[in-house]
Amino acid sequence: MSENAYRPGTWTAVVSPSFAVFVDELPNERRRVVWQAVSSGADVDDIIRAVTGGTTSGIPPFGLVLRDGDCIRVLVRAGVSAVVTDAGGIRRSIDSGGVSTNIEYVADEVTAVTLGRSGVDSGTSLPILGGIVLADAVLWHPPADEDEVTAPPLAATGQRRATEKTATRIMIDEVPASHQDDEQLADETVVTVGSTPHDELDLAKGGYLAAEADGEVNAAYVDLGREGDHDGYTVTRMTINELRADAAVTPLVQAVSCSLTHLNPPEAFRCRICDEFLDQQEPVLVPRPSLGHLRFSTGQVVELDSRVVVGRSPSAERVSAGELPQLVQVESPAQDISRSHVEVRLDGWRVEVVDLDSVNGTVVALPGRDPERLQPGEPYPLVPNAVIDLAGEVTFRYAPAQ
Amino acid sequence: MIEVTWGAQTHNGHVRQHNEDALLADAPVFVVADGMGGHRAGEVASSIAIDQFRPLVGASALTIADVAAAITAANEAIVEAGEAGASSAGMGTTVVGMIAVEQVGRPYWLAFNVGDSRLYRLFKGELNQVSVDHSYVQELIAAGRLTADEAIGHPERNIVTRALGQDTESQADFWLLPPEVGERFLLCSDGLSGDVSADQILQLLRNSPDPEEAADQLVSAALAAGGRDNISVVVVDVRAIYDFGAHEATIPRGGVPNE
Repeated sequence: MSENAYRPGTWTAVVSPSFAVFVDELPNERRRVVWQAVSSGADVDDIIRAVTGGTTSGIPPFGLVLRDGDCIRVLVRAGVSAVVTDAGGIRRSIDSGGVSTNIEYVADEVTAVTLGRSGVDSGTSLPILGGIVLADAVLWHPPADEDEVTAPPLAATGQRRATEKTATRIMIDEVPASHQDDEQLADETVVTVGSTPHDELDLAKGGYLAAEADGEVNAAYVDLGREGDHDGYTVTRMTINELRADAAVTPLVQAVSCSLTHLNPPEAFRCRICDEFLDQQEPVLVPRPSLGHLRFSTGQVVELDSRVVVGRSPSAERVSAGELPQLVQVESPAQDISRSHVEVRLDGWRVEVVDLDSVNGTVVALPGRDPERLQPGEPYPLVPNAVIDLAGEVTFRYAPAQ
Repeated sequence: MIEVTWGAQTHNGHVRQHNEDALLADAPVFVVADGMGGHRAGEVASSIAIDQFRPLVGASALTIADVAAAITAANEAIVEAGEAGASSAGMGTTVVGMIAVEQVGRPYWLAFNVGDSRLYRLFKGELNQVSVDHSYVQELIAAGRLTADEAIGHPERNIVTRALGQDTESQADFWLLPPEVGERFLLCSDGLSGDVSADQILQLLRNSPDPEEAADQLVSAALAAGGRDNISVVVVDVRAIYDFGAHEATIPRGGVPNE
């Protein structure tokens, strides 16, 4: 059996040979409950109840993988992504991107599952046999033989599984009646596929649906049902609001991922973080990860997770939460730098620099090319290690994500 | 870090039975909320909103996310409370605020607004309205069909187009402003700005160096003008900024050398 591992971080991972739970925040008193639930062979519902304390609203971002009879179940929610490697070495990435996703695999077809925080992807991995650790990601291998683990008893559904051993599938149920009339949802994209819980889609198709359904809105909403029971899975209105609030601050982008769950633009050939070759896969919608850093000659370092305005005394006026920039105030003893001098904008995966009609101008030097003076107001695409010079007083470099 | 002194005052006015306004003035958090809804629901809505900002009081190095989360929480808490009780259904509140946040090691004011309560800034003798009302009257002004002066006393000036608890969208406008020593901010409900002209507000703010006295004077002026609505006022003075200065005009290359 391959070794399970985790990458130290700030979220909570509960790991054992038979399952892994990965959750944003697990209050101290609930850790014990979760541990007891899983070590006594609890099923998915019990584990979710233990994680959430029984409430259906305010379920924290979490991911779960467990051996369930002869299948492997992977469940991810907002903010957690999973990468499933099958016996053929094919990796599929699952990113909730604000959507609850529950997928079952035939057990002997899965060799490894990684659960991780969407967009958090650097650090060293450490081996783990079992326990509760603070982590940013968990790598879990299904036990080689079911006899090795206390198989969670799922008698009620065991029979059905025995007859459905063929396909990887996402089950998407109808939208609960309580949501159908809800006007608040009118502009939310609701992916409704079929009205019975047994509609089958292959994984790639499901991801495509979620992605294509996006359109103008920022979150696709997939409610999944199991045997007509929506409890614990229903995305409440409150949760949708939370997703919207998140989407308002971090826009969603299409992404593919490598085996370490590093997110990449769909057209990427190799991973932008670890340089690994990327498998062919359908892109999924995810909150945009950090696109790297700006490193200033003044020593300031700014993470590129939103637009950035640099100047002697920068400001922002009457914008929405999602449009709020990070302001970088740089000293300009000679006052050559304007109050709001230059802006670094993020457009999907693209990074652009715009001179904000500064008095003394901005010069950009791309690696291996002659420096160019920016035309005021005209966006100029940046490549890694481009150097931007503000009026000859302060420079900063675009350092890609590592 | 921004060092401030402040004064705050709220009053029922002469007509209303209840005070549906609520305020919080405790560094680095300054918020005014004007509740709406029958059967005292307005009081409930504005105080629920204000409560969401209390955990930020006394904090240093707050972020945009902290403030955005408090606004989202306020919205959701009011929506939830409104769904829970028949008498409170449909209640809502305006909110205007300014909270000191930190970005890349520098302090800024993060100002925000939903509805028609207002934020003004007095600096070097000039008074500017920072916030832009979410109101029917403001839409008329923006469309060029009404002047700011005509808006005072307009019969439909009470119609707000955005409020917390009325809508599930995240809908606040935000401003990020570098602080300046000597600037003075005024946050108020429309009980002040609806009845007292900007000129009179400017005079009162200029003539009362002490922010508490300024707040008292402003409330008195609103009462003298009729006191038809609840009146809430917060005056904040920036005393010191632990930061570098030099925010004068940019000197063009080849122009006047520094000093």
